[in-house]
Amino acid sequence: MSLESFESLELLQTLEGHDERVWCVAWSPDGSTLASCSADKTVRLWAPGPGAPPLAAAGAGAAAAVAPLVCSAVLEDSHTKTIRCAAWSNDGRHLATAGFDGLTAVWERQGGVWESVATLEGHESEVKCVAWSPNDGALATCGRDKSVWLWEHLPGNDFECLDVKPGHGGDVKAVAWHPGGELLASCSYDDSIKIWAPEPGGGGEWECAQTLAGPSGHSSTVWSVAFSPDGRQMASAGDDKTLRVWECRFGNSSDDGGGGGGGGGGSRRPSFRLAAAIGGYHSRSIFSCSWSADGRWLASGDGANCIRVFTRGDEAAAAAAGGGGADGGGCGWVQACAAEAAHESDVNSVAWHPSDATLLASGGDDGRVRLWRLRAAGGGGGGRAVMAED
Amino acid sequence: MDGGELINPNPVIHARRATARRAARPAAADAAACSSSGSGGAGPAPREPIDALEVFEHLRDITDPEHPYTLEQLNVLEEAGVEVDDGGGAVRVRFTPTVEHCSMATLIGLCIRVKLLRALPQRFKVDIELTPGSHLSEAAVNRQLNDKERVAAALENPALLAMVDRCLATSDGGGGGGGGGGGPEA
Repeated sequence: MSLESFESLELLQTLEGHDERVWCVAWSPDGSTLASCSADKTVRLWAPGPGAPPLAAAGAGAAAAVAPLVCSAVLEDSHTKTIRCAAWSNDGRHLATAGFDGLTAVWERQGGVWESVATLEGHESEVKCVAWSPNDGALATCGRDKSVWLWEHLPGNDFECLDVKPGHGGDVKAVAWHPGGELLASCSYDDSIKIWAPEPGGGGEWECAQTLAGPSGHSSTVWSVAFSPDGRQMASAGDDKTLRVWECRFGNSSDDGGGGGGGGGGSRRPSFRLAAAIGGYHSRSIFSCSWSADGRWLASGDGANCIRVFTRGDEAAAAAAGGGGADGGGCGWVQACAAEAAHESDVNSVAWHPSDATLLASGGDDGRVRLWRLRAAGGGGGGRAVMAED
Repeated sequence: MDGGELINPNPVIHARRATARRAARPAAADAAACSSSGSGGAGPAPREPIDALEVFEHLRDITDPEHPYTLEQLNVLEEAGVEVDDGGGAVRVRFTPTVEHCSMATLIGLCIRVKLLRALPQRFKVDIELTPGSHLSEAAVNRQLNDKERVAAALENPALLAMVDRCLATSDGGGGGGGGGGGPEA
């Protein structure tokens, strides 16, 4: 009767090695390697062992076998406190890490070895998140000091501060770049999400183009933001136990009605609008959210040890859900499946593989990293609406 | 820290109540349940559930950051402020600062959180709150105490951790806490 539970999350592997809680997991852009970072002040890189088939080569995609991942490198000594976040550059050559010691470190793969090549100082206290711009020309960082910093990545691994953006009223928990480039989202302890873009006049200054808060926004800390791969949607996850999906539009008018899609446009003023609030599933704070490579699955990890996967129901599902009120069902979004005891403690991070759209990684307070396969019960990738005979 | 002026110079001191530690628990009933279901060597004894009294025992002797008294003596904590759902793995602790502008509220809450982090199995989710109406910045303090990232960062601050450990030293006697070993009870 319900359209739920046609899919399932199957545990593939558990990667042990961190001595303390894992805060963040991140796939290299080519999908060959998983990075995890921890309160134990290290980053671990995980990849199939020598001789095993590499991970992403199976571009064939769905449900390809995953060779056991082993820890291929440990990056340490760059931070003296917790490493909260690790981010790959889009060319896969650099890894940036954000630490509670107030530093952002940049590593570079030189030959087969990772070398620490830069340390960015500036934040007054904990750095909570770091993200590379889509062309790797800039880094964004954010932290406890309520600010977002933009750094230019110069030749020779020089980093120069481009801009410092106050504006949030509390810790900035995370930043994420829009896949199209010059647009950045940040989310905060102040319950809001801010959208940052270069000032229309040029000149290199960035400004807050929109603040997502109030009735349509989260009612508590926003822990995570993530853009869909096509850049049309953004998801956010909060302490208020909801996920929110925002429609991203660009144009010259900020009014909700118009079609105004299309990327181009001279000023590309962003305009975000709440498309769905997915509540009633998570029982504690949601710390992380991630879109699958095909944009079909939205995964989330929470403080109740649980991973959930949502998908946009088709028209039938949407109708069955009663059209989805603002607060109830979530405008056609339905839960595809869940792993209730995914970790022995909080799930801090979930990340879909960049090309294999049903392979998910997670990291938790239990110090473990886990790999999951989203299985469709009907075989093949689709078929949710086919099975109506419950 | 102690800038001379006390926030509450004259707190009311209450006696440490005799909760008749373990005796109050239905030990006999537990034993009976054990033996009737087991009726022999049927494997390991069932896990003894953790109850509010046990959690309170872990917390009652924490020293107030400002006064040489325990949280129980200052009525900051009472057993009735502790709720435990053993099956669901949840603990909720409500505490009441002695004055409603108490700037130590966050530190007290942090002490409670750290103590329970060390003393309880990892499966417990712990929520710590001010008793409703007991503090002028109630929402802000609650928010901070339940932000795991803030708590994690606080515990990497040596000065703050030293303060917490000092408050916890008096509570490490009976509870059998892990990690931060304090001396035996005075």
